Amino acid sequence: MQSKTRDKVVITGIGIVNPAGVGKEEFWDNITTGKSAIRSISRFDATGFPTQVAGEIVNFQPADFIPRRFIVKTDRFTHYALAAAELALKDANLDLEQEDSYRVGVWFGNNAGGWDICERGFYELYNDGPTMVNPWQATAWFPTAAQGYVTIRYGIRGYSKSFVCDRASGASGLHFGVKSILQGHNDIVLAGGSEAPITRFGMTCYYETGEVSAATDPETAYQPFDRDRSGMVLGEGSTVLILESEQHATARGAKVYGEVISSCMTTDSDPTKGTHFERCIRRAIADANLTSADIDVVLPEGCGTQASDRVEAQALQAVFGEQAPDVPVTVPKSFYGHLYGASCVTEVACSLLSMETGKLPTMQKISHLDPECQLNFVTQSSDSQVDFTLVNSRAREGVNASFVIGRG
Amino acid sequence: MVIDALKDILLDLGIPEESITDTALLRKDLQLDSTETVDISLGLKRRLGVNVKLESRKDMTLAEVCDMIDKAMAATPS
Repeated sequence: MQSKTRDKVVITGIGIVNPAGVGKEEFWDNITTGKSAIRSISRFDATGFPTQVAGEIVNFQPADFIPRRFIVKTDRFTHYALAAAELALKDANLDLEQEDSYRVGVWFGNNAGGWDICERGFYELYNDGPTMVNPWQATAWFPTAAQGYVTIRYGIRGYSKSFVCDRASGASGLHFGVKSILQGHNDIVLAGGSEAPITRFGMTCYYETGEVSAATDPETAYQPFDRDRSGMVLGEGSTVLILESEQHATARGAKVYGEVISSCMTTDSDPTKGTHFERCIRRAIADANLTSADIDVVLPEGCGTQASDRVEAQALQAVFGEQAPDVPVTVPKSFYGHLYGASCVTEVACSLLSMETGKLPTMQKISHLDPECQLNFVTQSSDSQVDFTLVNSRAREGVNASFVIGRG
Repeated sequence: MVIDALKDILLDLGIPEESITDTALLRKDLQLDSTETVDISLGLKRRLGVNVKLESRKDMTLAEVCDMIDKAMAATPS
């Protein structure tokens, strides 16, 4: 295989399908002005369910983005991915028919697969019998379906992968998608992921992890780093970023939002400790040839469980030292819910939009700051020059990812 | 009636209405894949209560499919 070494991966397109907005403009307007999309579940009657709130997308019509024959064969999480991919390609002004299809890859994360079609399949099996299950059950539920249908739709044939890695699924897609360009396999990568767990069965299964909030008030259900935080609130949606080698982006005169300057992944074999999380953050900053003093804003994992937030705050405090009380930290997912497969890439999109607009993403207000999480949280709309951000992601069992994003 | 049921199933699959004609071939003209063909069989079973297998090697027109359905319905005890 042809192998060329390149040194820079830039981001030239952003596609967002999110509870806080479909399209980057609506999303960013809501995130910078503190409008939460966490609401009481309306997708199904949640009476009697242990989870009552979620970040739901309520104004999305698949047919606005996707050919009808694709809609019928795929689950909601693939609809979101196909729509986000289309938005990202348009935003990047990129016509893939003009590109070498063997040099374009799709690197996605997804944790849960397609619960919507699973529930339909179970219903068909138990009510109508084994010969009446829909013919898409086997392919549409599968976590790689989003990658598969994006590649089919655009005729993409380059090096591609999907990752199932809990809350770090999206981060894994981004990390290895960047590598696929740096190692010379691809010129262009659609990096991101998708998730759609808001179904009766999906929400029930996630609740069984013990990490999802049982709070009923949408205003206070998701409060990362608050002393009284009660766990995660789930969201749904997809974010797709167009990554390109700098050489490729320059050659076609693309608008560059920013650069993935460095990325690092480590694993804590004991997830109650953050030894290697701290090492991950330090390495990402060092690999960017920066110091912690250069980081303008941190977008942490901030999943909202008691244990995980404490571990992350300690890691950040260790890395940032005396600056820890000053560096802005913000958890925009507190407005749209944890997106698992689309997590991390959505916060990378927030980093790029911060750089472009000079506005910081805000987060749900903190009623009582956890004394063990003394950081400078951005709970009010504010303007700031942003040149470098740190974006973290961490899976339940201790897989860590850190990225430094710059202007490029 | 049979053609109406078949047409509804094809429309649900996202097949454009203008391409649904008596002479349209399932694979060559409508570009149906194997899963879509299976879904037509399931739809006919649900709507008309007949078992019609469409996964043969030979491509069929919609008129030929309707004939198959008519024969299957005639052979099904009511």
